[in-house]
Amino acid sequence: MAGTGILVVVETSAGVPRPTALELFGAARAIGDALGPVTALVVGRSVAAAADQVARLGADRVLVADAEEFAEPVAARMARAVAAAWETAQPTLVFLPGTTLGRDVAAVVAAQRGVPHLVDVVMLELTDEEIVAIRPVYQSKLLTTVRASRARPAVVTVRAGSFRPPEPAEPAARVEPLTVTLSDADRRVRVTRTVEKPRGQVDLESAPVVVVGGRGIGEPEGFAQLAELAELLGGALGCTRAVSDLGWRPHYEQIGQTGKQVRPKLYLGVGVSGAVQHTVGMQGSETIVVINRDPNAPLVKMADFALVADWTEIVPRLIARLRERRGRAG
Amino acid sequence: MSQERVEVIVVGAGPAGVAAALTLARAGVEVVVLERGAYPGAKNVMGGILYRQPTEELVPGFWREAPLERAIVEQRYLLLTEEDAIGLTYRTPAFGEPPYNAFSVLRAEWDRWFAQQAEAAGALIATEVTVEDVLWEDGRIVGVRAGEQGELAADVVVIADGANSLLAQKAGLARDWRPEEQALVAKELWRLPAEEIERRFNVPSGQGVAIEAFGAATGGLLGYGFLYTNRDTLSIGTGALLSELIEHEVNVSDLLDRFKRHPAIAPLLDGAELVEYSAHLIPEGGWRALPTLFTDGALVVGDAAGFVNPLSREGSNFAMISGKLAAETILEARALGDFSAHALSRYWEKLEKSFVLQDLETIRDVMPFVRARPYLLRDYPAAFAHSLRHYLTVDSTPKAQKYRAIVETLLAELGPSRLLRDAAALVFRLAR
Amino acid sequence: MKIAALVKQVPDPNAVRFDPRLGELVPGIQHVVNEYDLYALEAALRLREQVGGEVVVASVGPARDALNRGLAMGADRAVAIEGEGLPGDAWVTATVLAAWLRRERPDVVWCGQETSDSGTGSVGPAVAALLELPLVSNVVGWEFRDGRFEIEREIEDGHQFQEVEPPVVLCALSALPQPRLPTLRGIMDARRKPVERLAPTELDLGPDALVPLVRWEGLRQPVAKAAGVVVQDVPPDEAVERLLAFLEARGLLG
Repeated sequence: MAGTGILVVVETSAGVPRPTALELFGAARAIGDALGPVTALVVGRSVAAAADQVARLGADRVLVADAEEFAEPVAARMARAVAAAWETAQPTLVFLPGTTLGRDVAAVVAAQRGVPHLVDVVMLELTDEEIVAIRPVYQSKLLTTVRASRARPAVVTVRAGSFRPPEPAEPAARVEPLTVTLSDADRRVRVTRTVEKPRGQVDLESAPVVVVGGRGIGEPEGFAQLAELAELLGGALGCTRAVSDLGWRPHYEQIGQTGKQVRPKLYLGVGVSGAVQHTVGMQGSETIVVINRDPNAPLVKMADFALVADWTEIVPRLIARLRERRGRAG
Repeated sequence: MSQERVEVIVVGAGPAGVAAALTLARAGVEVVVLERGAYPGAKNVMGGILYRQPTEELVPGFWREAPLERAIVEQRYLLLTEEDAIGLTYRTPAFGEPPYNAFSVLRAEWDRWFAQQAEAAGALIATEVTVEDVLWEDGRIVGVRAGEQGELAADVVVIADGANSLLAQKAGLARDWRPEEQALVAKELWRLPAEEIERRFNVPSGQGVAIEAFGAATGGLLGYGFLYTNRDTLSIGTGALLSELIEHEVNVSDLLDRFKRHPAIAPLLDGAELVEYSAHLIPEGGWRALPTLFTDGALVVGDAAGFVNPLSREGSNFAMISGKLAAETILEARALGDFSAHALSRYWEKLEKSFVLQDLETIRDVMPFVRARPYLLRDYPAAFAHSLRHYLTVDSTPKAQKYRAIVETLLAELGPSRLLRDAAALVFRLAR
Repeated sequence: MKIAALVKQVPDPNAVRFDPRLGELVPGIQHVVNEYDLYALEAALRLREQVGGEVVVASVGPARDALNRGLAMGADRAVAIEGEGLPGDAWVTATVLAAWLRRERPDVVWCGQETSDSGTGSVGPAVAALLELPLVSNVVGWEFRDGRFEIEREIEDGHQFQEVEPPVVLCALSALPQPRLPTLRGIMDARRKPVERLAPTELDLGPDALVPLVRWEGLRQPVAKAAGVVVQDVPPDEAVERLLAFLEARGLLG
């Protein structure tokens, strides 16, 4: 078998680990200790705090690539950092988060080394000869099992929400800086600016709760209530393609075939009929709750709990009750 | 700028258009089929019945390789009341052996396979092209226009764009359609394991059943319900005249729901899983609603021409044969170098000699006949069902007394003169 | 400028159905051009319209219809790389494409972000890695000015703008301008455009280069959920209480 142990690549954003990246330690734990040490690589700028956090998640060693050049997500640069950590750790498995950056980087480093890349994995197992993973295909309508030989190391990207991040535990692992030398080629792509989503918003793909509004909301103004509901439930706001096509909500909030894939603990669909276009992006949700006027809407049939009612009758009351609860708790 | 041109343009890649293209391509004619969908059959998710003999006129031995679902060995006719059913079944093993009689097909697969035969013969099938109008020159049709996708010229245009043909209207061949000439059909496809279908319908593997139901199948409206067995799906649907649906303010999908819940139908669907739903219009005007079928530079075929037999649901037969006859007409016209209405009028002669026009003529008065007697599909099933229940209920009543009671029931519910008149009128019309 | 557009045919995503008995997709599903690839093709054509040059549309594996579509939309020529086992896994596809692209040396490679079948999203990045070209994925907008691309990407944090000079690999999302429909002239012209057929051996790829690193093994449906609770015709206040009770019972109220 090539290499030993697991390299976990922790992507950060504004110095904070992406939630999906923390779930990788859950995946590493699920595989067991038999593989050898877990090395974490934290990449970003001003990530000392992130490295400390990661050091308590079960890593044996934390490598930190902390530099201005990693402030912005650029695949070539992060791939260089992963390559440097790879040389240091000589792992048999490399885990990356299933983010836009993680997937690019994983594909790049796997191709550079000519090793297998298992994408979008929701379950992972090792046999003596093979790495066996389950992943969604056909736009998440179906699952398949993928296999790769263990004769070579393998790169694995993990789908958001598939594993639980472990609870922090002492002792913390050793944290050491990793020197990464970028070539001119790595600098060919430059980030000029980023138009960020409004602050304080939970990331849709890793949010534990997703509140989604469909065309049934009737007007763009209605989404203010859904945003509040999402905030009260500790979740993020999403929408259907019909809604983003109408320009009621930005495209990046769209869930479905041509948008984001979510599998939160709670999916709350309001005025969403449940076209296949949409359901392929949310059918992995643990609990599905639907508020819709139409009892025959496909999503009502998928729901664990469906309220057949006009959302304007329900949502304001629900918000009021959740505010009350929060008042009591806080 | 020179205009692109081909010998023949066929608009629509359904059975009629493809039959025309196949026949032309085989004869070495440069033919382009312009199809609106992403591929032939893309808009046709549902199932239907395909008859062997007319299809073999186009592709001999097709049943050895085409995507067919089941050979239909049993035809059931049902007359339904709210809860009861009266049936007539015909079954023969002969229909389950080569060369067969009819097959259930999934249109998406069949249409695609049929189109591939035309492509293999040399026809070009261009998809996602929406033809909006014909091109005119000196009063004759010389090509088509597809909006921003541009124009294409041809010696002759075969109009095969389906029911309520926009192009036939643009070509001045058809008037706008009327609600009493259209049926709205709601169809669903339900998945059920093949073995379960075979058990439930009492057929061996590869063989199947077609059911057609009248009366309460459509809530007494002029129309029908149907159920066909496919390999591992069931096609079920109801259709009714659009004018009747409007008049009675009935939704066709409600009719279908009621049909599915009927005690004679519901057990057949038990445990099945819904795959698809669709609703579409089919022409039911018959002979009386036929458009002009040819003009200078153009012919109309298939559903676009309203070639549907309202009594036996043989749309795809009529479509394929009319497409073939149109193509043969074009070949003759091509030999003469004359695509005028005069030369293309041979199409009409060919249709008259075929079952297409003969069948439409035979039944041309049936629809008005039924339409004039709305009670046929309401009162008759109920009266027959009452009589049969009475007859079959064993209650120590002497048989002679039962017969008398049955006759009394029928007379009371239907009226003596009405019964005789209707029977005589129908026989007269069909046998004429 | 020479622009390559990479396309793949996939089972029509609207027709994809699982056959539980076969453990595979139902047989006979029509293949269509992968949606994102059409957006990539459109972007390639627009770039050519702006700066001149040629668009070559290429595919690995059976793709007659996809290549015809590309030619009908306006690509100048097509390349079909076909052979046993192709397109293979993402690694094999990327290896074959990279071998061909080394020969063609285009200035820009446009491909779709991912396919609707296997959906790894790996081919574009892997091609970039193998050719040592810069990569910009998740492209939702672009401009080409003074020999430089300014590209808008959609990522988790919002919209990121990047700058890069050709040669470059760009992966398209469907927020780009809609792919054009072929014109009738384009459809007729396509029949006269060159289609080059290549076998992997012509790209100096032996059987060893075409061994997939990751193998698929069967399909299955995600476990269907049991039918849930449907609350209907209940006064709103009561309905909200029932919903809260349900969420509480599942531990979803924090």
